Amino acid sequence: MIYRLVRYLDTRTGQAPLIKRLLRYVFPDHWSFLLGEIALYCFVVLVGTGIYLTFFFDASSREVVYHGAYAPLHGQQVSEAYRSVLDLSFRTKAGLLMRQTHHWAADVFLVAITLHVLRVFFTGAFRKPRELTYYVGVLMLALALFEGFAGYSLADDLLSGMGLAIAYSVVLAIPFVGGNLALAIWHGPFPGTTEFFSRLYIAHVLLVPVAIGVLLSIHVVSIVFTHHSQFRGSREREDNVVGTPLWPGYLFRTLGLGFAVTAVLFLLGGLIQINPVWEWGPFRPDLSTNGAQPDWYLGWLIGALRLVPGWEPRAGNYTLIPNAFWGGVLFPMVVFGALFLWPSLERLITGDRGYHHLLDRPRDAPWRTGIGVGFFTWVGMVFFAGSSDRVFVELHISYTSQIHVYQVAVFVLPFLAGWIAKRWCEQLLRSEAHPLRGPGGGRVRRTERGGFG
Amino acid sequence: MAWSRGRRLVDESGRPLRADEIAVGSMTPAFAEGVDKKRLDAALIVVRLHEHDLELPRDRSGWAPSGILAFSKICTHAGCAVSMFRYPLYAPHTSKPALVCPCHYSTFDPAAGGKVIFGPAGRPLPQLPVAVDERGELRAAGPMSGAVGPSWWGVDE
Repeated sequence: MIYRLVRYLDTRTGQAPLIKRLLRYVFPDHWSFLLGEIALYCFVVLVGTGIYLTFFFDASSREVVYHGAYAPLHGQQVSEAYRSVLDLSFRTKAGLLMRQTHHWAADVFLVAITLHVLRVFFTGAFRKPRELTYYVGVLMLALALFEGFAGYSLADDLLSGMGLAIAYSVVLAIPFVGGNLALAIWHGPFPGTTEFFSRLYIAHVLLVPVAIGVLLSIHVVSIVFTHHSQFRGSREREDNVVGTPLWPGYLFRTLGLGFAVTAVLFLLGGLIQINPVWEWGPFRPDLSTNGAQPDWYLGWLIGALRLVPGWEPRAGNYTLIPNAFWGGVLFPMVVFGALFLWPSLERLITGDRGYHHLLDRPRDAPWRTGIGVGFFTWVGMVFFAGSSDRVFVELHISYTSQIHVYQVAVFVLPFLAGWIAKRWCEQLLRSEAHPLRGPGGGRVRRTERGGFG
Repeated sequence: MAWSRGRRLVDESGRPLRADEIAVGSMTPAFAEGVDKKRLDAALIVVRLHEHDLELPRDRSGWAPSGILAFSKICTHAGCAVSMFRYPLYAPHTSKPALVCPCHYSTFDPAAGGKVIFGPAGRPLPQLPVAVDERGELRAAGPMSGAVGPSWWGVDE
């Protein structure tokens, strides 16, 4: 069958050699190589469920009086956007399932991408000749963050409106151009006009997903060009790739993974409630709710906005740097700047300009692992600071004391964690022990004579 | 500008707010009469403290008749609604009365005219001078003390 298919394509395109090479493409085996694939399948589910949602969603901030299926909101002034989200949740067949699966898929998408970036960082997979793949990947992470935020902002419920108020303030806080930029994007002062909703909508359902799709293709093609990297093993060398070919092996595995990811996402969407917008109510700029938490992947930004003390340097009649700039613009710029610069930085520091097809174990590069652990501890601390209010509610630890502790800890713990990680790597390198299972012992082999050698 | 001398403070349904319905330690949302509720400068948060607890700057004397204080409801940090009022009711009063924004917990001191006492906000919460007219209703006695909403490059207090 596959032979007939290839022949069919070959007689029409003359590309049998290319197809053969693709079918023979070899995938090395390691669980951590699947993180990127999980992200890929999340994206597929996002596009699929997203298309379904566009059939019913109406991106308009026009005011209507709600008379839908959810009685507690009867008679309330709501936007067309909010009404359509309620209606597609309560009236459309499979609407709530699709909406919740879409939301869950976005959350899992970003978990997978984040873990994937960590894997790539700590194994040195970004090194020559794979820098381009890495840059495109980091760019996709940034786009995915924006896409997720745009998505839950569209519902025009109280939480999403509060998120947009913060986004507006962050744009407004950009020195010099912020004011005009925010007015241009929102088409007037916050909460903006209905044009803003059309813009947000077209960005969410067309511009950003297409950009992610294009970058995803470049990402995958550039992986094929350079081959997968692999861990050192008894057969794996710099100049070969050991693993399972696409045909007749890996294709079925990866499709299986794809179906499994889809199944889990739909189970989550069907069984576990997420973002019940009818409980938050419609947005109005004069309303807000306590304990408001955004989707998990924005935790690092809310943490940064909360941790920065009230600095707002002024000169004459000008506020040079409005406060929201520090946490909302500078912090993410530093984080993404560091991610983008790291491959060049590492080359500069180590002077290593060679090709690397074999991956490092984290311990093989104690310095990189140390710096990475320090850096991600820093981002992680800021992330956890973003949930201090939940910790206060659950554990009754004073919010203000938590913030004061975090304000010191974000500058101390990264160095401590990085130093410990580096020392641990050096120790593991000497002992060659498994980090969790401990010393593995040597290999014992039975000789022909029945003894052990 | 939503606020100028003489504009009435109304509640959610447009009914004028009376000074005698604002109890000490209470918090009441209010709007500018006849102004679109979606405008950031339309929304107020009205609280009442004991007059002897007020520490208003000297140039704001007379802004808080019988301890009634009105502030912009929009946080000067990131534009969320300042919708929480902390008012300790029994001793020991470890913390002062405060207006708190639930987004990033910027905390303002109503007794001191909206001064920032904790959190990321860089500017005080703008205060609206209020007056009680002959019918006992609350009116603005002048414009807000500063720019409403989050900071930008050109904002001047």
